[in-house]
Amino acid sequence: YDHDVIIFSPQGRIHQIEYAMEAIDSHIGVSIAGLTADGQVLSRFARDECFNHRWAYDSALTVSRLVDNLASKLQVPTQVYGKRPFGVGLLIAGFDIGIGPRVFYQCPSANYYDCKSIAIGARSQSARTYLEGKLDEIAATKTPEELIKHGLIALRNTLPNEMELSVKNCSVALVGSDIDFTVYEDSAVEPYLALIREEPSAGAADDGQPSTQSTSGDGAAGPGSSGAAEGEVRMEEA
Amino acid sequence: FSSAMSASFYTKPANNGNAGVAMETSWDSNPGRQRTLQPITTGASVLAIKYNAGVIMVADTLGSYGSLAKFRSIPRVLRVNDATVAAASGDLADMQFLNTVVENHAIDEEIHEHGIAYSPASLHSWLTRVMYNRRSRINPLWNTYIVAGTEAGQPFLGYVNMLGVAFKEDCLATGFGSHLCLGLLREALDAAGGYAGLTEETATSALEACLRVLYYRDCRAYNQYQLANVPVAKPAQVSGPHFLQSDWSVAKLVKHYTE
Repeated sequence: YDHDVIIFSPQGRIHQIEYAMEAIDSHIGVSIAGLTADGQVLSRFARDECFNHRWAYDSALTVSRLVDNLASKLQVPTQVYGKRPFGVGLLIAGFDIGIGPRVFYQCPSANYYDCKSIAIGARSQSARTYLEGKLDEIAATKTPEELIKHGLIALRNTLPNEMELSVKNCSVALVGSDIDFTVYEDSAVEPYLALIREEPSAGAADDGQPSTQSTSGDGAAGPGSSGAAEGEVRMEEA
Repeated sequence: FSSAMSASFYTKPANNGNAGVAMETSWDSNPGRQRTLQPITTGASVLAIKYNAGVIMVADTLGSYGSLAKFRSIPRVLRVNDATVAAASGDLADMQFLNTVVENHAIDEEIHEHGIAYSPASLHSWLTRVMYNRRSRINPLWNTYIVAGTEAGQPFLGYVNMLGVAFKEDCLATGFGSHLCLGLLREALDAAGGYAGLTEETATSALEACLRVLYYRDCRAYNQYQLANVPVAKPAQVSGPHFLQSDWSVAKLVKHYTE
């Protein structure tokens, strides 16, 4: 069912629309939600820009400059006859020496937003609400673990009742002054999930019992949506 | 289709489309287009030395037209930003062209939101790539550049020439300066036990002494010069024109100088 983007699977999913999180350079990474083929083009372009800059200027391309260049590329097919916009939303996170951590949200419209924290995808509003309420706390975090806890709690808030965060449907990435962009997947996520098990789910209408269903991938997500379980929540490294 | 081009309120060769540094052109269909075969209006030596709290660079203000001292007030030292300066010897038209590009890059960096100012190491790296690229297309920018400044609290000094040869050192000189003066600058550094032991005053007087040597011995040198000082903790400053005192009284000892 993944031969064409117009084909639904029996579960009502479109396999070609997926999530990916990858490093662009040692100091920048992206999380891509949307058409994977379009995402690959943009990833390759972003890496190209970063590496060309390093080759010419012997220094890291600042996140804002990369996003600017990406946006200029995304804008072209929104104005040229016969082309279609890139079918991807991007969260771009990185760390610039002399500036600090940056998070950007890039839309297919070519608009982009400089964020303190952001969540995108289906049911991401509850994550955004949580993050907005916790902005001061987040800004005051002293360790990566505290920061990741906020991110995972925000992500957990987007889950439907029967679903639970697990190493199978969740990944975390970290970048900062003393850490290159690093992705934690599968068993590597477990220590971070353990951090939030004691924390109560805010706003969820369940009785606090963890779901016994384990889901792989995007179980509850409908076609064309970015399921929140795999939606990425990006935050500033405080 | 031509894709949307970004508008520019200043000319950068790449935006211009036609005078681009990176442009390939067919020499057959473009007979008026030429490669650089020789420098025309030229600048002489550039000298520079690190000291304990920064770096100083000097260059005279002469534009020579062959052996004619034609333009006597040409600035060859460029202030790029608070932490970076650059100066060039060689063809002055090529220098002015490149300096415009560098200046526009610097403007770009400053106006870009959260832009970081060009560091001297980045400028040096970029310049090396440009010079080497032009050399490889057998159409060089006929210059030798020295880039000076401060990087992460340390003085920076780099050299790039028309072949794309680039290196960094504690003291640098171009042209005749590399023959007549580099030894003097190195002696000054050795006497101080390295640039960390060299004061600003000693560095300045060493450079001035070198300029004097050049004025005596290089026919294309001049006695009016600019000086750039980039201290590690303070903004770069380009001062000038300074005037060199020189003593030509030995001339009367030259046979046939007078009747």
